[in-house]
Amino acid sequence: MRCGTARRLLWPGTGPQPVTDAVTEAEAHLRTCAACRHFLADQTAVAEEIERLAPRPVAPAAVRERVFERLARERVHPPAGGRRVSVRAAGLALAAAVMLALSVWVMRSEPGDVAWQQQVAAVAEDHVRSTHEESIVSTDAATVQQWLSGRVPFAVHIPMIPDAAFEGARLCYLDGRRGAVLRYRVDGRELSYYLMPAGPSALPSATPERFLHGAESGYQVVAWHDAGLVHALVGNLPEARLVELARFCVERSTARRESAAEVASIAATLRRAW
Amino acid sequence: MFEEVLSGHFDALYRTALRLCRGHEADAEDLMQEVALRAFRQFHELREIEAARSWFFTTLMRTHLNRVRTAKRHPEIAIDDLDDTAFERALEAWQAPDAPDRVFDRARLADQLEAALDALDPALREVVWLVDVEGFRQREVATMLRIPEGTVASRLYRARRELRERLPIDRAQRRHRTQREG
Repeated sequence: MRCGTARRLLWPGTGPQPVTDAVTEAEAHLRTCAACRHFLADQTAVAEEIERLAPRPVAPAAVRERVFERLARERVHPPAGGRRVSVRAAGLALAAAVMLALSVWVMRSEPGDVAWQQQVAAVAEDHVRSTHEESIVSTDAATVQQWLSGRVPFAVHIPMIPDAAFEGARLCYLDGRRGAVLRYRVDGRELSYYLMPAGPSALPSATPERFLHGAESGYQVVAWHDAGLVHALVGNLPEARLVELARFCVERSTARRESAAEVASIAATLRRAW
Repeated sequence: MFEEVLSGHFDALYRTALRLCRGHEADAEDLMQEVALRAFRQFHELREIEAARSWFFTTLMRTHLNRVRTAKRHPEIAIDDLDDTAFERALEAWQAPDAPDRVFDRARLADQLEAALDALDPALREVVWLVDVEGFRQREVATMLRIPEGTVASRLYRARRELRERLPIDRAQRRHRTQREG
């Protein structure tokens, strides 16, 4: 057998092959031909070297974000004559509860299927993002706050809710906007505190004084709109308990703002004095 | 969930798109957008989730080839593929390469490999990237590109030969092995 034929038949990387007479003959040739053994070893070595040296850049977060945003839009507006939107959202109960509840409010001002589809798409998007390392598990509020800074387009203050254990945070992507979800455990149950930049149609009638309520799949949702953000507490807790926790969050937020204003005022006074 | 599956393969798809577009990030992103949408619309065709990686790469490669054909930026097949006889002749003509004299550090060699990959004929680059870097079997690549398996092998051989000619790869290889053995 010629070397060329043996090398072609025994070419590395072809995977399992039927043992034909030709392959058997090629293997016999290999046992007696040092040049062919050298050739095959060389091909394997070069392949290993290319594999070892090849550049492996990670996709920039912005690219990833734009692609997933485009997909979210595709879910909302499939091409004409396009396929039926099918979202397998099983297991998304917590995130779904938020968006289902929010969708009720959105649909009050914008009735129709589009708003609903938008929310479903947003839930799917949020779930996907939440499962890929965009979360932090830490009971230290300062650590989590630092982790969130720069990842969301607003400052996050983490309230230490009474009788609740703080467990960490994650990012969420809803309706094309990036927000934060603070995770607590209250009375042995999970509680999520969503903080999202307010969109043009989000919760028009919700204020810190007037919460909006919703329920879905056993989860209660209490939401309000404050300082350019949509706040929502979601959990498998009695509604009264959730409202109580929401009031605490509002109070902490208000107190923090007042305190910040006071500090700014003192600083201004000192500057004038100097 | 489509996005979850895609997310798991996103980096590998992106870096392949980047190589297909010779390092042009905007083109790679554009390609990724189209690939993601096409895959999303055809996701119901994926029968087994274990096959998702190969399925995404198939979508990527076919989308890329369609774009290239549509744009007519490159001829459809830029190289003359070898039949079995010609391939055997090429294999027979192989000679053990001489090790280069110069010693290169790994970072520099990696940069050189990137440039050498980009300089390859597109048909050769696709194959060597998919097989040697992404680890697909030649049979899988043949299916992705709709070409015979023998053509994959001959393109791979030529791609490796060209890369070797451009790089002091043997020296690096020996040093790498010495380090591992040491």
